[in-house]
Formats: sequence, C-alpha cells, structure tokens
Amino acid sequence: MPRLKFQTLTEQMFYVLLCLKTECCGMDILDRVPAMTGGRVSVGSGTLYNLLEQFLEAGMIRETRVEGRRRSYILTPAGRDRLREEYRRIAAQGEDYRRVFGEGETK
Amino acid sequence: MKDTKRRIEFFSFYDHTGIEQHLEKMAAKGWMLDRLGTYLWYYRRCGPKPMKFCVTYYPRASQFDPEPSEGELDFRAFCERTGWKLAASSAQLQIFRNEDPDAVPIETDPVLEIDTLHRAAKKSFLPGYFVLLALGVLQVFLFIGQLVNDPIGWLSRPSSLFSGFAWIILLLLLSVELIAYFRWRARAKQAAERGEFLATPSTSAFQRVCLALVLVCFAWWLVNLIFLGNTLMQYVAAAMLVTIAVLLTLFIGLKNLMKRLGVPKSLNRGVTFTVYFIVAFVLFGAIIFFGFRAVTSGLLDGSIYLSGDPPLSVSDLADVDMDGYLTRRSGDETVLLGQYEVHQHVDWNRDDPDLTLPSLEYTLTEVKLPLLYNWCRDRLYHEDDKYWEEFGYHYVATDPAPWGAKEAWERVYDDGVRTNRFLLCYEHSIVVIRFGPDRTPTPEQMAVVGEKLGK
Repeated sequence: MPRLKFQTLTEQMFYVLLCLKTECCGMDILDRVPAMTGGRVSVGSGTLYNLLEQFLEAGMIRETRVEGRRRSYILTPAGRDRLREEYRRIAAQGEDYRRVFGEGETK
Repeated sequence: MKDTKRRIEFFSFYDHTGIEQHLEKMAAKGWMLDRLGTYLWYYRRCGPKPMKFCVTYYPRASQFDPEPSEGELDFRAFCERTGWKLAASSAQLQIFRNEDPDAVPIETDPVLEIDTLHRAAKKSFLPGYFVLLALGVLQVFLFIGQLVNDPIGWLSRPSSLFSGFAWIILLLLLSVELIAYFRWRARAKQAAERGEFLATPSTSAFQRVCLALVLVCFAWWLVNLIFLGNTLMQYVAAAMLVTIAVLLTLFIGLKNLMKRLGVPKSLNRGVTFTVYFIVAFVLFGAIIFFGFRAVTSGLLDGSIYLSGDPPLSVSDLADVDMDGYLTRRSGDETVLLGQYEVHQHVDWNRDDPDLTLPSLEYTLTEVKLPLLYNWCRDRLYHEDDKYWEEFGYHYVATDPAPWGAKEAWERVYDDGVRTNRFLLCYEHSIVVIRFGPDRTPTPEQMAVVGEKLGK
C-alpha cells in the first residue's frame, strides 16, 4: 500500500525534523543527522532538498533566514506535533517489544 | 590527439542508472562529461580515473530558463556540500560527479526519487511523447485507409512506404519508451515501499536499431526519389527537407538567443512556439501553394515520367511511325512491388493528327514478394467492381496460351461485346492491357505482349 504523505515519517524525515528543533541551516542538516545518529543514518542532498520543500509546503517547518545560498529553518508547532506523534508511535512499538520479550531482551 | 569528443548518446530521459554507468565507464577510459548539447554529448580528455556519477532531476527547471533559477542553484549548493559537483545539465536533467567512492548518494529516499523523476518527466518527455503517440496512431489509421483503397499503388510508392514505415517505427519506439517507463515506475514504487531502489531499464539498443532502420529507409527513399521520382516530388521533397532543417534551426536558435538575452522563460517559450508555428504554417503553406501552382501552370508535371523506352510500344504491335505519338510512362517501385503505367496515343495537338492510328495503354505490376502475388491479382481483378454494375461489364476467362501467360481474362460487357481489355498473369508480373476500341489483338500481337511484358 502506498505511503500516505507524512502519515508515518521515514527515519530520514524524523531526523531532519528533529534537527530543526532549533533554527538550523538546511545544508547543515546533512552533517547533523549522521552526527546525531553516530553515522547510522545519512540523508542525501537531493532528498534533503526535496524534504525541506515538502515540509515547508505542509507547514511543518518555516524559513527563518536567508544568507546567500544558506537558508535556515525551524520547526513549526504543526511540525512539532507531527514529530511528537511519530515519537509516540515508535515508543509504543518499543513498549510492545519490551512487553513481549521482557526488559532484558532490549540490551 | 584530440582532447574533446562528441557523441550521440541513446539514453531515455528516465534512465539514470544507464547514464550513470555509462559516464563512469567513460571516466575510467579518460573521458569526462563536459556538457550536454541539443543533439550531442561533449566530453573532454582527463586522466582515466574512477568517478561516481549521479543523475538527478530538478522538475522546476526548463529548457527556456535564461539562467538556472535560485532554487536550482540552491539545489546544486546542497549537492556540492556533500561533494557532488555539477558535471552537466540540460533543463531538468542534472548530472553530478564525485571523486569519493563512498559519498552519500544524492537520493537516499526511493519514494522521493520516483516522485521527483515523475514530476520532471511530466514537464519534459511525457507530454511530447503522448502528443506524438496520438499523431502516430492517426497517421497509421490514415495509412491503413490508403492501403485499403489503393494497396498496390501505396506499396509501390517509396514515399508512402517510407513515411508509413517511419511512423510505425516511431509509434513502436514511443510505445516501448512509455511502457518501459511506466512499468519501471510501478515496480519501483513497490520496491520503494520496501525501502529499495530499482535500477531503470535501458532501451538504448532498441533506439539504435530503430534509428538505423529509419536511416537506411530514408537513404533508400532518397535514392528512389533522385533516380526515379518525378520533378514535382523532387522539388517538394527538397523543399520539405529544407523547411524541416530551417524550423529546427529556428526553434533552437531563437530559444538560445533569447536565453542569452536573459528573456524570462515564459516569454521565451511563448515567442519561440508562436514564431515556430507561424513560420511552419507559412513555409508548408508555400510548398503546397507553389507546388499546386507549378502543376496547374504546367511548369512541373505531377505525373511520374520515366526515361527510356517503355517495355512495349505501339510500334512493337503495328507498323506505325512513333513520331506522331505521345508516350506517358509513369511508375514507382519498392522492394515489395513495382507498378508502371504506359499510355501511348496519337499527339492530338499536332496539325492534322491521324486519329485512325492505334493507341495502347497498359499497367505492369511487378510482384517482388511472392506472398503478395495472389493478393495483387485479386485486387486487379476486382479493381473496377464498383463500376461493373453501372457499365455492365465483367471479366471472363480466356485462353492464356497465345499470351504466353499462366492465366488470362478479358473484360466484356454483359451483352457479350468485347472491350479489348485483358488481365494477364505471368510468373512474376501481372499486366492489365487496353487496346483501342475495335482493335482486337491478333495472336501475333498477343505473343509480342507475352514476350515483352511476361516475366
């Protein structure tokens, strides 16, 4: 079944939004995501560019500053809500896992 | 040793996998992509080195943009940040290179990649392909109509056969391209749901074969036109080719000129298309107008005159002086069929023409593809069916032996009056011959016909 837009966030979407809790230049996200995830997750430049456009269009982020080619963004309340929903969904998954396998299995 | 190279590349717009692999091979051989031209790709010599290429798409770009837009420059800056340098671009198509073999790809989300490519496709090749597909279907239906009405004439005319063949090839090419793209898109979307990327299909070998076939047919048509075509067709074909070249040059030249002058893309697009359609209308209109004028004024004749003596003349059948005769010999020939018509009659424009002299008319159909023989014979047998009821005549079988033929029929009126029109079937040819009224051929004349026209 096709993925409904932003109904669930991909890992890359999740971390891009997470990076924008505080004002951040779009291009810097390219470095921040791998740093935040210990290199586990990377976002391609084309993917990031398109994601930022789509998040802007959906009102999940807003542009705060433009300095030459450097555009900065920050999460909007709508984006924050969406991120929180996603966190809850992932946390619920974690809860379910722990309930099934027990706390010891998470190590 | 040359430091630059130009190549015609056969890649579909969507085939980013094929383009990337090709450019990586070229770089390994020491050729780096420099720029994308309208028809050619330009390379410059570099030391052979491993290089990663990434083909991506910027849907909002246009071939009419005077400069890359701010958004496009932002996009490129993003790519540069991760080591991807722009190698070349052409409207939506953006090609980047990176020396780092472990560089993070530009696209890391397959769903977004498919979506971006489709948005670019809708602004680039898809609309044009669908318009051409509709035109191609219309053309093929027109050809089928002509084929049904005058199949032998149609299959004997190189221009009909060439244009029909070229449209069928184009239709095939467009269908394969569109099917390949939409099939890939459907499968790629399924793969994307699993988080996987799917390589794009390549149709470059098929494109090459199609182009080669069309070029061979074009060359063959050109040779036929030069050596066998009538003067009017030669002029019209030359004017058409020049017009097409002028229109292409005008479109590209005007578009590029306005880009250099910094004209906004919407204005550039509007002016280029308007001028293109006006000039096309004027030039094609002029060809039709002057062609028509040339025929009606007698400057050029639309009949296809062939040089040399016809295979059978009145003088072969009767003791006459050909000086007082007019001979019109026309015909066309393809690899499938050849059809020639010969009309010989007294020149009525001369002073005191002798109207008692015999005339001769015949149509010689040469069947080169044996499969078509029976079909051609049946077509010729029934070609006047629609007039039979009105004029009340029909074919009756007659003895083929005097003609040296396999089969022979004579057309007679329903009341038994002979018309002196015969349908004769030989090994590889079919002859419809019409002698003048009251000029029933003698056995000697029949033998001459068989000897001269029977193949």
